[in-house]
Amino acid sequence: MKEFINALVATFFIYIIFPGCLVSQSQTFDNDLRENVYVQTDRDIYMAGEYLHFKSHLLNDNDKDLSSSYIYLTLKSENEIISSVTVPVKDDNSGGSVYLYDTLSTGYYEIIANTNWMKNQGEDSYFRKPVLIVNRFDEQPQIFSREVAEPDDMQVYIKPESQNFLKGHDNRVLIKTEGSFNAPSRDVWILDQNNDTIKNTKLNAHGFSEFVIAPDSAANYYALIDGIDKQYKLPETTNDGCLLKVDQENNILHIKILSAGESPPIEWLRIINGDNVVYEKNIGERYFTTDININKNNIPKGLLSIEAGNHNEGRINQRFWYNDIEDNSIIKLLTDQENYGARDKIGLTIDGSLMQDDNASLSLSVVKKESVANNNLTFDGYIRSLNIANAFGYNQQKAASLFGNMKTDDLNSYLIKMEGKETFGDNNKHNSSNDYYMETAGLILSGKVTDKKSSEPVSDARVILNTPDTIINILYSKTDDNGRFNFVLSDFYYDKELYFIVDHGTVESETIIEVDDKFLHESSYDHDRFVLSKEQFDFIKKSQDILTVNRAYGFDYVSETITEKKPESHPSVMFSNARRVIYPGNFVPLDSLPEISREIVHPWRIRLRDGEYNSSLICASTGNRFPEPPVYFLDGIITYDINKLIHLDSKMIEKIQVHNYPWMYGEIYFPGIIGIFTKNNEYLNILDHRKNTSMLKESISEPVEFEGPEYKENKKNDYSKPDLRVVLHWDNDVTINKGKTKNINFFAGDLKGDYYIKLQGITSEGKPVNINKPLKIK
Amino acid sequence: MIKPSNITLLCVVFFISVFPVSLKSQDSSRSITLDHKPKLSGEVYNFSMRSTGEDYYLDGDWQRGDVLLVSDKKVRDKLIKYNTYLDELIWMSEESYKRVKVDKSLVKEFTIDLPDRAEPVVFKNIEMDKSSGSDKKSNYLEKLYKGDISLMAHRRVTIASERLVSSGGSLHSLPRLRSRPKFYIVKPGNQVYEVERFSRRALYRIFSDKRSEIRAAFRDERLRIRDENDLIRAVSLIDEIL
Repeated sequence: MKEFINALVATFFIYIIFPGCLVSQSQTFDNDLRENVYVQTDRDIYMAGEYLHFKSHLLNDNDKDLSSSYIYLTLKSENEIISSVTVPVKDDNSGGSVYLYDTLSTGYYEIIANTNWMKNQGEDSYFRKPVLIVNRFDEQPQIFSREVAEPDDMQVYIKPESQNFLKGHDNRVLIKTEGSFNAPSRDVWILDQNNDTIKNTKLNAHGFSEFVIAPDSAANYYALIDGIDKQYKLPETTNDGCLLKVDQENNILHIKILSAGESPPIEWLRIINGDNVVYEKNIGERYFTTDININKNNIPKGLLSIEAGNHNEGRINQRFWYNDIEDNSIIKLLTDQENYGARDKIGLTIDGSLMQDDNASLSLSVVKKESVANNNLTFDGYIRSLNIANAFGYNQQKAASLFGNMKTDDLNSYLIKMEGKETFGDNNKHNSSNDYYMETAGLILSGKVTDKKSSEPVSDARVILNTPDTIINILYSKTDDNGRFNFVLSDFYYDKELYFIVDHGTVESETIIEVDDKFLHESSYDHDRFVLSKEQFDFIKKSQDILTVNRAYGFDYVSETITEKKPESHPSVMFSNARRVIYPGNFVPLDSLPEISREIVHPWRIRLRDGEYNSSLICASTGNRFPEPPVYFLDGIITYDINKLIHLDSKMIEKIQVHNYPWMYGEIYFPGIIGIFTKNNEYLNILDHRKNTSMLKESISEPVEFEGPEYKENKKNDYSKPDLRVVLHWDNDVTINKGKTKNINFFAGDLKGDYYIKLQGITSEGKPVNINKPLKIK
Repeated sequence: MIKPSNITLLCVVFFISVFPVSLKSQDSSRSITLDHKPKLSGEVYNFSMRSTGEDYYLDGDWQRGDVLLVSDKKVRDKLIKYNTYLDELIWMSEESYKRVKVDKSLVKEFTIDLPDRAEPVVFKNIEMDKSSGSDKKSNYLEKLYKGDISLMAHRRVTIASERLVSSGGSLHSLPRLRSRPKFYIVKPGNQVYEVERFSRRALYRIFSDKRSEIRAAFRDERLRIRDENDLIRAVSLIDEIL
C-alpha cells in the first residue's frame, strides 16, 4: 500500500514537472478537404473601360459531396483592390463580368479567386492570374514585356535524364535557361570539342529544350545558344552509371534501363504515385539494356516517380514523369467555313459525339489573337501544377506560375531537372487552420472579439447583429475559445449595412469586434509578365482608338441579365407585433425623449440623475416596474445607451414600438423593448461608429451578358455604325452532353485579322478541356 | 525478490503508461459546414391555475419537439408543451429555465413527441374565421388526417364548472376543466369547416356535392361515426372519393 501511494505521488510530480505529458496529440485538423478554383477569362489584354468576362470552376475531389456555394473574385493592382465580386456557384461553376473602370492606370493586374473554405488552406492555394489593362488615354503606355536581362545574368542548366552522361548510349539531356533573358525560340547548337555541330534544337516558349545524344568517352561537348557568346559545357562523359530513359508513344510508356560499367546491377523497376507503389517489376540482376513497356492507362494519372534500383542498395536512379492519360473526352470544335468576311455569320459546331464523360461545362471565347497572352495559365496546366505542388509541397501559387502554362510534353522535359525528393506525396494535405466554414447554404460572416486593453480573444461573448429596417431584426452568435464568431446570413442581409455589438450581459470589459474581410489578401503581387510580340504592342495602340470609337457610339456589347428575382428570405424578427405602437406625429410636438415618454408613452419613464439619463418600463403582464431598464432599438439597431437618444423629438420620430413584456429571443432575455423608428435615418448620426462596411456591401453582383450585334443579309453593308469588336463572342455557359453536338452562331465584326476560338472548361469526370482554334476574318 | 523500491517504480511506469491523461485536449475535429439555427421568441410565461378535472397541458410533462416558423425555418429539439386552456405553445429555455409563451404569429406548426403516441403529433397554426365557430384569431389544431382534405382537432380545455373552496381563510374559485375538442375539416384552399358532431349528417353537410357517393361508401363500409377514430376513418374514405 505504501508503495502504491508513493507511486501515485511520484506520478503526480512527474506530470507537474513535465506538463507536456498532459497535452494531447499535436494539433492536426481532420477537416482536410481541399478546394481549388480556376478562373477562365475571355482574354488576357484589356482596355480600361471594357468588361472582363469570366467563368470560374470549383475543383474538389472530396468524397463527402461538399462544396462551396460562393466564390470571391478580386481584381487587384499591385497596391489595392480595384473590384471585388461575390459569385454564387451552381454545379461547381459560375460566371460573371467585371467592369474595368476608365480611370485604371496601365499595368498588370491580377485576378484572385477563393472560397471561404480555402482560407483554411492559406493564401498560396488561392487562384491568381495576371491580366494586362491599358488606359486608352495613355499616349505612351508603359507596358513592360518580360524584362530582357543581360545574357551574362542568365543561368543555364544542362542535365542528363539519367543523371549520368553515359558513353555510347542515347542520353536525353535537358537544357534550361533561367533569368528572364529573352530565351524562347532561340536556336541551340551542341558542339563537340572540334566545334562541329552534332545536334541542334530550339528553346521552347518556356526557355528550355531537350535533345538526345550518344557521347563518345573521350569527347567534350558544349552548348551554344543563339545570341550568347558564351559556350556551356555539357557534363563529363562516363562509362559507369545507370541509364533510365522514359519515352512515350501513343498510350505506351517505354522505359529503358541499363546498368553500365562498374555501376551496380538493376534488379527492379518501380513506379510510385504519392505514397503508393502503383507498378513494380523485378527484372533480375541486369547489366544490359532492359526495355519495359507499360500502358499509361493502367497506371494512375498525375505525377509519378519512376525508380530503378536493386535489393542491396535500394533506389539507384529516379525520374519524375507526369502521366497525362490520353483525353478520351474528345470534343471537336468545327467552323462552317474556312475563312470569313466582315460581318459574316460564323457557325460553330461543338461536337461531343466521341465524348466518354457524361458532359462538359465550358466557356467559349472568340477574340482577337493579339489579346491573348502566349504564356498565361491554361486549365490543364493549372491542374497539373496543383498536382506537382501537392507532390513536392510547393507553394501552389508558385507552382501555377511555373507550370500552369506548360503542356505535358514540356513538363516532362522540365521534370528531368527535378532531383530525388524525399517528400513526394500529398504534401499539401493538411489545412493550416480550421477557423473558416464551407459556405454550402448562405453566406457566412465571421470575425473575432478581442479585449480592448489586452488584445486577448474573448470567449463566450454574445455578438448581436442588426440591420437598419422598419422592423426589429436580430441575429446573435457566441464566440468560441479563440474569440471567433460566425453568422449564416439569409439573403435578407445581403447588400445591407450591418451593425454589431457585444451583449453587455455577457462581457463586462470593453471589446473590439473585427469582421473578417473576405477580399483581404496579405500576399503581394508577384507575377511574371507577358511575353508580348511586336504585333501585340501594335494591337494595344490600335485598341485604344477602337475603344474611343466604341465609347463615342455608346457600344459596350453587354446587356443586363434578367434573372428571376427570388423572394427575399424572412428576417429573424424579435416579435410579430409590438404590444403598442405610438406615432408622435399624432400628438402635440414634444422636444425630447423624456417629454415624449412622460406625455404619450405612459409605461415608460426617463429621468435625469447625476447628469445621466436612466429609464424604466412598466411590465404589461404584472403591472410592476421591470427591475432593469428596457433595451432600445433605433431604426432596428440595438443600443443600450438611452443618453444617445435623448435629443430625439417628435419631428424626428416616425413611430415608437412599446413591447413591455418580459421577452425572450433565443437565449437572450429582454426586460421590455422600446423600438424607435426615425423619419430620416438618425441611426447614421448616432450609431455610425459601429457599422461594418465590408463584404456584404459588394455581395452577389448582378451579372451582365455579352451581346454582339446580328446582321441580316441586306443590312450587312450598312456601315453607318462601325463594328470594331475585339471580342466577337463570349458565352460562359456552354454545356455539351455525351454523344451530342451543339451549334453556336455569331457575327464577325469589321476588324480583319486573326482570331482565336477558345473553348475551355472541364468534363464531369474532372478532365480539363482546352481547345484553341484559329479563325481568320478577311 | 522484488524490493519495495522496485514496486514503486513499476507502479509509476504503470500509471504513466495506462493513464495518458490529457487535461488540455485540443478540439481537432469540427463541423465543416454551418447551419443557421433559428430562434424561438415569446413572452416569459408565468401562468398557473389551480383546477380540477383535466390538465390544461397536453400530457403534462415537457416533451421534445420541433417548431416550424412562418419563415419556414425549423427550430429543432426544444422542450415544449401545449397549454390547451390558453391554446398556446410553451417553451422552456434549457439555459435559463425560463418558460416562454411562444409568439403565436411566428409559428406555422409544431411537432411534439408524446409518450403515448407512436408518431410525433403535429399541430398547425390555422387562422380561423367566425364562420368556423371559433372566436379566436388563430388556433393550434392537431393534424389527425392529411390528404387532399385534412381533419384537424382543436384540443381545447374549457371550464365546465366552478366551485368555491376555502383555503387559508379565504374563498377561491376552483374551476373544473373538461376536455371539449372541436373537429375541423380543411378543404383545398384552406377553407375550414367545423364538424359539429359525430354524425354522418355533419359530413354530408360539409360535402353536400358528393353526398350520395359518400353515403354509399359509408353504407358499404357499415361506418357509423361515434368517436374520433370513426371520424378519421370517415374522412379518409371521403378523401378517396374526392
